Amino acid sequence: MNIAEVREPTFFILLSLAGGVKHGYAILTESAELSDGRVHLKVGTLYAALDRLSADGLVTAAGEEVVDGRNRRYFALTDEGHAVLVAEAERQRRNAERAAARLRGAARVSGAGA
Amino acid sequence: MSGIENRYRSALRWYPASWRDVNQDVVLSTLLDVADAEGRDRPTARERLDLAANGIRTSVERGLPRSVRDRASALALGIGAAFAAVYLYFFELDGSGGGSLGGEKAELVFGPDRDFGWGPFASAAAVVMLAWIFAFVAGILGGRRIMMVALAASVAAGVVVVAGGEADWAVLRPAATTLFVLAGLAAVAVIGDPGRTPRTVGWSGLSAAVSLVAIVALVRPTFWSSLPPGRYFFELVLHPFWVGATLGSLLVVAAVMRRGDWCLAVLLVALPWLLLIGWEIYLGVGGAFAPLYGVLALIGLVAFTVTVSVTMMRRVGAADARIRGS
Repeated sequence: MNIAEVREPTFFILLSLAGGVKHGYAILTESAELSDGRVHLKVGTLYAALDRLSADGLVTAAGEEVVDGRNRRYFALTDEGHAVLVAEAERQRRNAERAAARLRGAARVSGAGA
Repeated sequence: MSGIENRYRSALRWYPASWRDVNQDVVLSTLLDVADAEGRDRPTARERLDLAANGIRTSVERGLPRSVRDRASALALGIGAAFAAVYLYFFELDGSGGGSLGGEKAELVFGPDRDFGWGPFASAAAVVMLAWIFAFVAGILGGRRIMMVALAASVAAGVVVVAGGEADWAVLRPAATTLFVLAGLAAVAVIGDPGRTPRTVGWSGLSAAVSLVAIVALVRPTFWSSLPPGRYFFELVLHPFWVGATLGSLLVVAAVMRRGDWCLAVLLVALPWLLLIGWEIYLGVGGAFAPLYGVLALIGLVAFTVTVSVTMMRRVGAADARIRGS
């Protein structure tokens, strides 16, 4: 997968799985928590994303069980998925650093002008 | 089985049966988890819409491999953008011959008092063409979502212009058949991602460049024809004879090279024309060439149906085997 194609919902799905194997509902709730409520995936969209990430080799099914009469399928991050997530996190960190440096410079300019 | 479970099962019928065999119980459990957490006893409208959209998308993705969808998308985007650019320049822009010629014809029909046109354009169909060109640029730059929105806007604008009837801003529009073909190409363009790789971008660019040269070559010699521009454009440039011959040649080349993905992609791009030919035959139009078009359409539709069916069966079988094996 091209790193430029990691959109925000995909990033938070991968990030939630970085914490360990999870089933669909746990991925939904954790993605919402990790994104401060910005990413609210619908169930159909979540499973479409998981299908796509499985096809790309970033995520894999990790077993099923029935809990309280409900079928749970667990998903796990693959090594490739972990590498993509690390690269995307690094890209975001560099962007944030550049933004912070630029904003510090802008603050000094406006402070000198005042 | 509870009422909400029945409703979710009903909403999941948008997905193909083979997908439901493997995934339905898992997805249903997640839907019920979310409903419990939100204290609901029925699906929301947004959930139903989400399941419908993803169900349709799953059906398309399972039936058609990504390699075919990207190829068809790239071809359709290039061809549609070339048509749109030529139509915009030769027929929509004022003072470009085609548009003013159409205006003269319209004056003969409706009288000299009407102020035909829409700003600098012959009709509001310029929005359709501009949206196509914008979609092409977005598509090859990797902005698939923007491309999809632009193509949806082009289709919507086409519907509005056709509904405009004989209004000043609509009367010099392209023929409805031209707009139908462009809408069909838009539908094919959105099934894949023409900006996914440098190679798909190359296919889009090549498709646009070759189409542009071919269409301009067709338009130029008979530029001063007395036919109204919209109808003229369909009858000459978008005519099934030219397009059928071109796509048929591509199909033969793909078949000889044993490239099944290209064969199916070309057939997908030809689908809007095939449907239109079928419709025109149904209406009893087509002139002296009608029997020839009938044979072409029949061969094309049979080839399309058989190829898609075989591909879908193979793909679904392989996908199910993969899922069960994992």
